[in-house]
Amino acid sequence: MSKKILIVDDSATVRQQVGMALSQAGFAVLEAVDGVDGKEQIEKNQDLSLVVCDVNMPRMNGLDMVTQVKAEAKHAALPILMLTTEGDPTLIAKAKKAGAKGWIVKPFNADLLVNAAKKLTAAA
Amino acid sequence: MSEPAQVVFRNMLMSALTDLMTEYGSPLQGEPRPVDPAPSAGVRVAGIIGFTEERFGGIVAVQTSPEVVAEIVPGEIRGRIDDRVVVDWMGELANQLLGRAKNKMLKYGASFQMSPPTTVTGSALSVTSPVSRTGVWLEADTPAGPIRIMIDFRCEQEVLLSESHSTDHVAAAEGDMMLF
Repeated sequence: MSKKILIVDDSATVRQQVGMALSQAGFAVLEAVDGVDGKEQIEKNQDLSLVVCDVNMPRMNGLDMVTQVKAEAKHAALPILMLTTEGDPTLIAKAKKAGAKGWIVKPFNADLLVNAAKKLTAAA
Repeated sequence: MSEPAQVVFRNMLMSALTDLMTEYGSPLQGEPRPVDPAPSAGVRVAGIIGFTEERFGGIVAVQTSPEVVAEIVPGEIRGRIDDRVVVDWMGELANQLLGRAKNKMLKYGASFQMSPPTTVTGSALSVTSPVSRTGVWLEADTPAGPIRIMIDFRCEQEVLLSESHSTDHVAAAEGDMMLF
């Protein structure tokens, strides 16, 4: 069965772009439009192998979503990969401290993203 | 050497635009030039995004034709372009443009927060600064047509910025990946 990845981004085009790259690599893909939706999807889908998450989004940003998700012990093993235009080392350190497992600065290379997804889901 | 923050911001934004358009296969042709913010002659789409930090803030708008946007969507999306994609991608372009400018400004000790982008579209489109009326419009040519940038930079007092050579202020580059 395909490993399931949740893509959280407020841009439908980015979700489509990321989703195509991951689908072609054999992953099943779910989508969420912001951090609030992302949190809800994570609660509904306990079999997720990875979350790919933007930072700047309406309602709840990606860093707050990671912090809230990782505050729950049941999500401790769920890897979260940030995919964002932000390259600020302070934000990267904040994401790492909150429990994110990686950071990619947009625009992204599809092969790089797929390789990261394979590495991060290897243990799932 | 110190420079006014609005000059640094404009230079970093234009540098970011050059990089971004090259990245998406539609490099700028020639230098951006100041233009009059007259309403557009045809249908235009504009991505609008705000930024703020303690000393300054403002709005950036990126305005062009749907035809230009269609030329600069990611390769995976080409062939699937409709009005919804054009509107969505214009907002994402504004986000990526300001994100790049933000990363470039880190070495000047400035780190602003960005709003989520929004997009407007229409005929005879005219985007103007709502408060300060200090917006500056610059236009650059691409192979598919012109692209315009409005910079509405606001600060209450003059802010001077100088480039730091400390590695503490180096942003991760676009396309970089880090696994923790």
